[in-house]
Amino acid sequence: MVSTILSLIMSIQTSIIPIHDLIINSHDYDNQTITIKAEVILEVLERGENAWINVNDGTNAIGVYLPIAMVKDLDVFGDYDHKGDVVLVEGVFSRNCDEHGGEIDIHAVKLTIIEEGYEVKHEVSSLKFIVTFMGVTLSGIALFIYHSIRKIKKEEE
Amino acid sequence: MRINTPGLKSVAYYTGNSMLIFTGLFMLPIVVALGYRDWNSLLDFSFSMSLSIILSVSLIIYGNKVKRGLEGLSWRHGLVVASLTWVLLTLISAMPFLLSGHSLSYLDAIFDVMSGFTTTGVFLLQDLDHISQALNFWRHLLTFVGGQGMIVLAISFFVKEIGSAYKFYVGEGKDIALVPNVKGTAQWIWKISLIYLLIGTLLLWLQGMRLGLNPLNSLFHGIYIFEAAWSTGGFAPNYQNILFYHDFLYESIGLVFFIIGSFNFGLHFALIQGKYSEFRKNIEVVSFFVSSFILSILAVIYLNNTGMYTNAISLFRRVVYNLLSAHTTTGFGSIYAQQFASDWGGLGITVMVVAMLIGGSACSTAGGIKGLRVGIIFKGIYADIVKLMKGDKTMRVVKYHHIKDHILDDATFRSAASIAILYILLFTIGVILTTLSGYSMLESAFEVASVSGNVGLSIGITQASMPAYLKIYYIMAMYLGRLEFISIFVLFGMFVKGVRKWFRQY
Repeated sequence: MVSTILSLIMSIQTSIIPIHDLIINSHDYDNQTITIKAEVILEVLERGENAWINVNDGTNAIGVYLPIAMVKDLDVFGDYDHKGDVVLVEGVFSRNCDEHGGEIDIHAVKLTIIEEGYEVKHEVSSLKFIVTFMGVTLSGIALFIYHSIRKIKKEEE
Repeated sequence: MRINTPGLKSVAYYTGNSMLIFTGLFMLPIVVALGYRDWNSLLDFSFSMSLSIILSVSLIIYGNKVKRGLEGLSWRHGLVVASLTWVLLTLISAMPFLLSGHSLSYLDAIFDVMSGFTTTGVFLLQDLDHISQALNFWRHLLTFVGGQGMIVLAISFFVKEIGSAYKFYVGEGKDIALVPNVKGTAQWIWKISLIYLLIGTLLLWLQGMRLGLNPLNSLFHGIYIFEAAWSTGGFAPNYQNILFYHDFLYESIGLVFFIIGSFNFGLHFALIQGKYSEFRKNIEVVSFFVSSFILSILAVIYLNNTGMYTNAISLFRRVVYNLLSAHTTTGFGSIYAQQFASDWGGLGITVMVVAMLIGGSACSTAGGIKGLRVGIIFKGIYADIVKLMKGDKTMRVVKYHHIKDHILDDATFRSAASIAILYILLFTIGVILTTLSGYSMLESAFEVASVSGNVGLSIGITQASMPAYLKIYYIMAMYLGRLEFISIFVLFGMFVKGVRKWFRQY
């Protein structure tokens, strides 16, 4: 049982294609059903009953076109404050999609969330705070000197 | 060595003042960071702003004894103010990139800032999809300001008209006078740009919301895409560049603004004054449309024959769009960088290289050799051929129209040809260096034409892992290409002279 599950996971892992490979070998993958694993970025761009999502797997990013019903479970989208949901996308890859003006894209047939996204905390280091505070203080002094110089110069003129 | 010559003090004084005016721009990403409660970015930008203030005021204090009015400032020093301001602002503006942790080194951060300032658009920033709104705002602001010019910005804010400000202005690669005084000209350049900023942002904001972006994201994306289009910059807030939106209309709005942005500010000003005939008579406009038409036809026929793009919409969105993006030196890419290498073939890449080298209009936000120079060179050569064919011994006056009628004399032809030759030289050295790094000749030509013409399209060579010497050469190429050589040569000459003097004394 365990070995069956492991082999299943292994087979999925090996069939996952990095987006960068898809793009540089676009001739080979054209019109093939492929699987990618990537993070969903920013927002869903709705187009009537369908939608676009942009996904990034760290090697590159690509647009995925899919029915809107498939994106309903997506909850967290990647940006500065969030690590977006990581999804497994199975779909047909096109190097020159006729429907979308020659774009490289994937028309998804299946989308599975395999890692839920989360909020990213950006800690502020105390060293950064102290150095900035010193810099701002010094620049305040510099601006005071600058204003004094301008005043003297105006009086001279 | 005592460095106290009046010329150097003048350079320091006016460089410091120009930098101090620019420093005010740091407030904008600080406000964005505050709005997003992004304390890290707030500190990064506050620290960088402090450094900028301290350096600017130090230069002003050093040059304090210089007399205002600048009537005595030589051409040499005027040009150095422009080129030195660019160098120092690049070093300062790179700090937020480095502090964000998204640039792998200070050299990479400098590369990105120079790319922004020169409206090139290639980048080495890591994980672009996860950078802060404040940093994204900063990237696009740099490219917007760089397009009009930091010196143009500074002159607009100078308290009063100063006698030799025109020398700074020329040093930044601009030479057109919209109104009799240079401060008025600089202010007009900003007025024109800000009016378009409002219109362009509004259109892109509305279309972005129609595409499904939330209003706030749509607004920021509208600002960014407009700034990058108008400045012919080519930056975009996400990794996929203009492909992120998957929308013909959104791409088209960008297209309209990057074509308009690549036109000479003199042309914009003439149209504002109701001189509509200027549009069809101007040598740069004619040159742009003729070369765009010929190059587009060549690329469309070739890529249609290869079977890569087979319908009219694909050919327009993937071929003509990229070609116009290259020709206007914008750099918005509606295909992936790697596709140029894998799908476009020898002729496709060559056409793009030619388009990038020609570039947009002089005194615009665009780079490259410029349509005006190409027009002058072709007209001059044509006139010479006609003269030889006819065996005509009488003097013929050759004219060209650029805002007004000009006589094409030898000095004009020589000046245009000199800059064109310098561009070709810059390009050739870059191609040799890149080829020596292991890339093919065609790929190298594409990438170097892109950086030296301030375009920003990439065939995949520009990345953080490329050799440091190539990064340095590309930074220099972007800088030389944008300021058009002369002011940088003068800065370099002054530096060498200073070093020699130092060696003689010790």
